[in-house]
Amino acid sequence: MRIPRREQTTNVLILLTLMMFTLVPLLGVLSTALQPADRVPTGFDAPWPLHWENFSEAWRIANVLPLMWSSTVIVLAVVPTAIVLATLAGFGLAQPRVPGGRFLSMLFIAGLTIPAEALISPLYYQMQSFGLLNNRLAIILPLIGLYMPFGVFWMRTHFAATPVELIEAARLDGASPARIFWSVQLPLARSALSALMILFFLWTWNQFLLALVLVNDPLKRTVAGALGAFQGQYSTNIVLLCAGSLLIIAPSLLIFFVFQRQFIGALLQGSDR
Amino acid sequence: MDRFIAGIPRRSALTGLGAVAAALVLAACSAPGGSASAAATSGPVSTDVGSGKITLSILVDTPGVAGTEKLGALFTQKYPNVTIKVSGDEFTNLISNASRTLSSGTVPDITRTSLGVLVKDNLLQPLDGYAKLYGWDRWPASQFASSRSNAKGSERGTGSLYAVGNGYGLTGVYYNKKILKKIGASVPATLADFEKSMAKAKSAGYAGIVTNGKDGGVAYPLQNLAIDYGGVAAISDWTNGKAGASVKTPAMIKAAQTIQDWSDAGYLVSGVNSLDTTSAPAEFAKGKSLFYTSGNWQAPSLQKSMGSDVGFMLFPAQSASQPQYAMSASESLVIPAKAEHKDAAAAFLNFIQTDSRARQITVDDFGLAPGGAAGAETPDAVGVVKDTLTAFAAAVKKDAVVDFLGNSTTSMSLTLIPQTQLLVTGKTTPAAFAAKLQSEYANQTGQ
Amino acid sequence: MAITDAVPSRAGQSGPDERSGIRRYPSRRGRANWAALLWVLPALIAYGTFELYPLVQTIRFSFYDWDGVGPATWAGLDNYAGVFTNSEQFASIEHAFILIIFFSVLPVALGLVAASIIREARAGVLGTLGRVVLFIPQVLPLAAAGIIWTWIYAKDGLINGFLTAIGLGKLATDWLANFSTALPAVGLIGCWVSLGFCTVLLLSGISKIDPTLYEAVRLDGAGRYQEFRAVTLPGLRREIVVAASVTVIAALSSFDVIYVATNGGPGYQTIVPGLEIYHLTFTSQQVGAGSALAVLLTLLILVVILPLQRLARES
Repeated sequence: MRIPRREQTTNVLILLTLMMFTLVPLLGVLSTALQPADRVPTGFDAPWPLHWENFSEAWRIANVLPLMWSSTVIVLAVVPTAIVLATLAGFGLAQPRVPGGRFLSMLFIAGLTIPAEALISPLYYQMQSFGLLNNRLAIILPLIGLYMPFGVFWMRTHFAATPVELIEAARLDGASPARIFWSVQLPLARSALSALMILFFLWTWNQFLLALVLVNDPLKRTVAGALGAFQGQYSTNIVLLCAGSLLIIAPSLLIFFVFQRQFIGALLQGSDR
Repeated sequence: MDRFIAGIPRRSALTGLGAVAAALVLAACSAPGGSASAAATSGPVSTDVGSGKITLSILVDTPGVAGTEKLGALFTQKYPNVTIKVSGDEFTNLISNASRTLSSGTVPDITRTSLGVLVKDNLLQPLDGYAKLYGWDRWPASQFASSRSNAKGSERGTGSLYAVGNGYGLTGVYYNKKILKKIGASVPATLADFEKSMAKAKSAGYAGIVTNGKDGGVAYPLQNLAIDYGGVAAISDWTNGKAGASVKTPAMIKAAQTIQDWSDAGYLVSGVNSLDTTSAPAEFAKGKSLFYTSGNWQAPSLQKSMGSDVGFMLFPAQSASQPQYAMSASESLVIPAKAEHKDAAAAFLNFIQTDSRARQITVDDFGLAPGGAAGAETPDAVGVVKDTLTAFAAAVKKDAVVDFLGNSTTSMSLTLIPQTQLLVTGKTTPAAFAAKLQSEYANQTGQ
Repeated sequence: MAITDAVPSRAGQSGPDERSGIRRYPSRRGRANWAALLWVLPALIAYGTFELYPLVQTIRFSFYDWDGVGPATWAGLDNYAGVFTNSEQFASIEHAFILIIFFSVLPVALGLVAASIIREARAGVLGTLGRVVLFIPQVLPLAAAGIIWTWIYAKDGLINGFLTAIGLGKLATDWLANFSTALPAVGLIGCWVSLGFCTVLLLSGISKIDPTLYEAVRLDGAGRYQEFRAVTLPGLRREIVVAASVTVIAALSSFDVIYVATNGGPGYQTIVPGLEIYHLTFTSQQVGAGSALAVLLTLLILVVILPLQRLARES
């Protein structure tokens, strides 16, 4: 490494500063969560004694367990379905000589720019007309649809970049497109698929607005909705709110740390095949 | 690269746009929305909750779930065939989802909400029949004023009764007894005394008044001042949404000016716009402020944090002979027009207003004042909580309660809150303030 | 929502089709491949039913005066005119543009710095730790991020506590309730959320840059800045545009963070289109007006994104 010492030191300092910027808010929330529950925290107090019971209290009040279950159900319904649909479509659009292929691709990509707020009202009435309003399908079905733009784009780009030689070889062997898909393309798509799965999981688990509006029963929404439980009409219990927030983000963080290599690795996989 | 629009060959792009346009034309053919459902009539009413097993579903705001479950348990003791199932949602969701929830397939039997467009769209059951049956119409009328509405939903305070509450909020002023003593003042009996006390407090190094500017607390003293200066009728008409009502009046402008004067004189606690309903009482409990304009819902926690140092009074009038007014609104519980068990629901509503143990729960768990008949027993309470109950009873007896400025239309608070924040920081003038409120009112009431 | 985390990167281009990433088969030779459309059909149905049809409906609603439940009355272009005459609705659009600086420009710039540094420390612990830690905010629900920062910005919160501790207590204020600091404060939350995403995305691009280029440039005596300008920046053109596009969409359509942190206040300082649409549609029950603003927001996003995409194409 020909990087001069001084530059290395400044590099480290800059990176550490950015990391502190990221971590300190979370640590602040942790310290607040450990304060006595009936206090309105004034200032940056180091909590002592540590009130770990706040977490169980927040757990109870925010119905964390049923909501996590609800989020899990929604994730299990949305993510595999969306991946299958997006992969099939991405493969289809990456084929040669698809009539209207370019138009369809543009149509999907255009969806990336549509903000969720533009769809909230009609989605509500649509779910109402399907009779699904008190059903988790009211959030599951729209999410699948809303993930199509990104999913199709992602998979199509991946399939289109597969080396031509491999495809040609399989074709010369007489393989049908379906066969090529199953035996050649799919194994190669592992990293693209994992990245997509991870992103879809995060987006679904953290979904807030759609769940709020489309599902009447608060217990059938997602975990992000639990945060509202601490904000009453007249006051917010800050300590429990902080404890609750940490509880809610804990599973995502846990999964993230365990699989961080795959998480980030998959997103970095741009160039790896 | 003109052949391409965003990388797509022009022909395809135009075809695409054409398709979208065609779809638009097709979809634009008919107006959205259903036809208005028929108005729910009062229909046959009965106090009979039947003998078969019924489950009453009640939807309230999350913090109210525990208290409502207790009320439900008491009710089930009396009517064992009725099970009460309580669910909760965040308060703001309850209000904004109300019209959709009540017009959907699964409708709760009772829900907490504000009237909004619900009356206009015939989603609520009028309660007049039950009021007559249970004798609510013989109770002091002013407690029900904010829950009455005309059939069009455009004006409240008159017309059919649509909601009742187990308890009522009441605004007033908390005062720090220790500071009052220190500055050698007594509980102010007039507005002038009130202002003098604040001046004395300020020179002794205390803040004159605390209020939660972040979520609209400034509107309370503002409304009280406007009533003091110009009488209650104009304000009452406006908060009820009456046609032709206006707040662009000398009284309101003077009230806004007074608030600004207080701000300029340094009576308002510093950073008033950063305090919300959670941090404001905490700030007051620190013991460095003389007054805190708020409502009876803060009494239980202030009792805990300040004990005997805190008292509660109604906002003073200009002279001791004029009545002291307060804003009040019920924790309005409604029976949806599509509810399944209306009679049982009405029985529950009657129970929670009249049963003495239920009324005690209203005070202890909800921190609110129960309404009811003129001679109804006041639940047990101590300290400042007791003060609020006494004040409520007195105010209701004199019919000296009005609805909140923020309730005049469904979204008035979206204007009121930012405008009061601008007012206390001197970023708008009293005249512009009043004009803005009035123009929003005109817009939203379609005048 | 989902759009904020989209990573439309060009996976693995290094061949002759680098420009568009689409294999260009001559479209006039050979039979049209109709069978391929069958593969696309399920996704198209889902997308059409739950995204395109609702969008058309929103456009339809925008021409009516409707409270969402009862009958609707035709309003023509009134709702659209209302956006330009109503000072709050118009201000919301201005604020959205200001947020672009914080949600997009800042994290992309800091992300470039972080990515360059991590590249140099690539195999080291610091590098791995860096990209893991910086990514954490992406894992949280935006609403949680908003709540966390609300407390940090509070009058008695972390930032003021810190300022007082280092003797700068005079600067302490309620950042989210102060008229001049509210919007930038909210913007900083967006920066915090997006920094890790930009870093990781840019890292993915950097890893494709030929390392020998760096060696060559260093051998020529270039320092850190020249190296950055000559090698890193040009090589990252596409990724920068992607990061910018995604974060700009997040800035223009922001809702969760603002709803939770300030709800538009103080005064109207932090009103953004996403929030205004929510207020109009759900609080004021003016579905038509909310829909018109939503349509305008979509058009606005298109207008801003298309030129950005252009930048990626010029190679």
